[in-house]
Amino acid sequence: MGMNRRNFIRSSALASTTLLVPRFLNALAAAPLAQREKILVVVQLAGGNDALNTIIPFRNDEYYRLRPQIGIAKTDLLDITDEAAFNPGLKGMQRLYKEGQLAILNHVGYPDPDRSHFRSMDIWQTGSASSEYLSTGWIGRYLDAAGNLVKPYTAIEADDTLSLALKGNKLNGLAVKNPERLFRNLAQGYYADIAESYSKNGHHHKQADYLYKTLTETISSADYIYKTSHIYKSAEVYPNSEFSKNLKTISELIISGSNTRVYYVSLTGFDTHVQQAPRQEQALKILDEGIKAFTDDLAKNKRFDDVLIMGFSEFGRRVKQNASGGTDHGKAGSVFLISNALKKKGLLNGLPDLIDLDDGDIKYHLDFRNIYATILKKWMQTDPSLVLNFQAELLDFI
Amino acid sequence: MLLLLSQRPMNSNSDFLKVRHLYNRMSFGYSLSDTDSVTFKSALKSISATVDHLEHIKVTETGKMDREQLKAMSPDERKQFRKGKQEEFRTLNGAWIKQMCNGKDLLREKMAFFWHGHFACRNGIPVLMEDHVNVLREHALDDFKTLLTEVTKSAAMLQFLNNQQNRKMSPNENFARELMELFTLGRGNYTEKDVKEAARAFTGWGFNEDGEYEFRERQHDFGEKTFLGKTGNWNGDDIITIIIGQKQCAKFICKKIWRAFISDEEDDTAINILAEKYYQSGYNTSLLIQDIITSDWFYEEKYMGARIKSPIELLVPLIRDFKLEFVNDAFLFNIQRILGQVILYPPNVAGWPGGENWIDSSSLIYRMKLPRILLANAVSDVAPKDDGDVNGFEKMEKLTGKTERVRTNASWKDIYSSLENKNDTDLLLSVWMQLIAIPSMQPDQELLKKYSAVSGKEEQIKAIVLHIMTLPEYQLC
Repeated sequence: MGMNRRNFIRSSALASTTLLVPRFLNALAAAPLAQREKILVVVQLAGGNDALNTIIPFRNDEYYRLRPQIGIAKTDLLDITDEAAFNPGLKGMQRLYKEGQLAILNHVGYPDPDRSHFRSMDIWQTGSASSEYLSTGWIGRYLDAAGNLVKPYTAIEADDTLSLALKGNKLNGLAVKNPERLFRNLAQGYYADIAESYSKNGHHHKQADYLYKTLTETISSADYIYKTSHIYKSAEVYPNSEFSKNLKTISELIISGSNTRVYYVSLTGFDTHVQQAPRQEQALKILDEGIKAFTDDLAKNKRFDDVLIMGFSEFGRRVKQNASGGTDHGKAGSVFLISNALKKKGLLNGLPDLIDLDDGDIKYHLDFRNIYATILKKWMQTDPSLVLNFQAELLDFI
Repeated sequence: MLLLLSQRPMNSNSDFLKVRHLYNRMSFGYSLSDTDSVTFKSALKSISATVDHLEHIKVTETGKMDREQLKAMSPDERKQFRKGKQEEFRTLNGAWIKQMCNGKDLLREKMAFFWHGHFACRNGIPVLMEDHVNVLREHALDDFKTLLTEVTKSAAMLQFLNNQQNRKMSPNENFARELMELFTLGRGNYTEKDVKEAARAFTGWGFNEDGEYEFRERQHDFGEKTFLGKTGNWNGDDIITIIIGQKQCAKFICKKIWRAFISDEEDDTAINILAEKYYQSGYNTSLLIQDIITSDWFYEEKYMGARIKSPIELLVPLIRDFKLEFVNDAFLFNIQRILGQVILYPPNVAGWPGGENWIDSSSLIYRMKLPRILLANAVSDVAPKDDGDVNGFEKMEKLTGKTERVRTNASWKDIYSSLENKNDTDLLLSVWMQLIAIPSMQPDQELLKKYSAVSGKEEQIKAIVLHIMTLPEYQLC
């Protein structure tokens, strides 16, 4: 019987698992590797990215009138259409755009927008209306809806702590910044010993059971992720940013065939109240270079068709610049979608109206929950009504 | 110091189990120190004892900064100003936690903490937030109507829920809506019309430059309103009275009290009985709590260890019992951020969801490691999330240099001296009984021996305490 390299590595990984992890954990550790399922990578731009200086409507005189200092000069722009161009920090995105692997949705938001970072981020992460307060996130509820096949590593956030977005009612995602560190932390035997002691003891107590179940799954997931992440080691050169390191971890897991459907990663530095131009460009460049290495890596390994990247920020910024060469918190913003499997590409819903504003901000014309619902339905094969309390209109980008 | 469990037959000592449960629920946990020979009767007394004059927390100075004044500052001055504000918030945060640790007015501090999650409020102005905290502490055990009225009139809340902008000509419904949805009745117990009418009644409720409540007559709508079926020229006080008149309000509050003090699992029948009494007593919170803690059912085994500790409930006893000093007060603040519960910063107006919501893979592991991080200088390699707000929480590196390591000074002296005369078995059982809230759970002695095989009595005591604190059951109270 032939054994290809991947299977070999997988079975040897499982063999070593047996040595390290107590018997009762093995059922979980031995979960089959993924078929070629569709994978979602959510990129969160924290701080409120200024959409208007990300995708610039350079033919719109209002743009330069309202932003005399921070409006980006035409000569510096990276053209994408006759009337729109990218921020100079987005060279890789420009290429993705030209190759038909990028779509942009403009003026995305929600009714009764909130200009507070923490509240608006809450709304985006939970997928709530601005009048609702949910204690679960939209990815978490996706896990709940996906039901009993879900493991903690079905949704992974590349960070030390878990965002609300990945917390469900019954199931949660897993926060892992560094698979090796997590593995070493938990695999010293101590935590596994503790977990096994409880299961041996046969004690039952509702809350304690819940905690021990979480512990057991965490140990087993740490093991699974660490072993899996070793199957493929990226040959791609990633920039040295934290964000890129996280993307590299994600790419290794995807290409190694980790049974993970959603990855979540965050990049900060977009709260540009003061001297916006260099700061935003720098932050976008970190985004751009990371995404470039990541998509190149996926393409070379023939996984770019299976991966959809969705980038968002909690709000856009005011149209008019402020007195400090920056912009203050605004309302509607932009969402970018990247994949080799996009059905619609480019600027999907035009450029924002800079005359008809909502108290100085770009008005929202597309509720973000329509994007979530589209991804859930068409990419994740999940009924959006199980996840979102929202009558969504599905879009056709995938 | 430590209870001499060897002198008390474990199974028959229901008095001890009751004392432990009472402290776990109505204060910040049963204490590893200074609980020498506490009887249930004296524990009841000490829990309920309140000081004559509540000491208000007074550590902040930064008041409302006028927009014009801010504009006139240079960028550097503005940065300094914001930094100063952040420091004040951290100081205020630490000052309240200190009150929770100080062992006086146990029930009051626990109730005030409960109300902080209930009347969840954030405000960017330190003095206003400080006043708000003092309102919660001062009225924590007063009747609910008094508390609700005082909270409504606190500048922090008036600003947070935009009642400051609620004017006759352009009513702002934010406060009125949350008042009913989150503070008193819950969804489905009022209509959109009730929200509109209540908002009209609260028009003109605002605060002045000193952060004091002020009724602005000219902005108040004196017209007729119909609220929850009652028609009249209602003002804000009338709205509160009408709400308090609804039994649903007592039910709503008792349900939250149940989850915070009794169990993560709701029992509708029991909650309704409590609510009926609460309602009949005119929402006497002090009486409600007394009623609970002097009942037999409260001490039933099924309620012991039936709650997952909130991060603050986990943190406070460690600080208190080990006289913990943080090398930099930013550590204490950042630990709260990692754990997901920062005093003064509830996630939104709905407060902390609590229960199983505290637990996910990473939070559980961090919580299990926390005692070793705080008490034994174990390395923490977990960083809190960056919230993206350029004026928000400072990054850890900025405050402490490159390392993320939490450095503390913990005092083990009292713990050692109270346990050093015990033989191995007594030592283990004694620590176990004090730290683990579930009566039916027994320690795995084999596992414990494996991880406390160190030489020297003190090292052994330390290993046992840290091991038991690492167990998931230590997360329960």
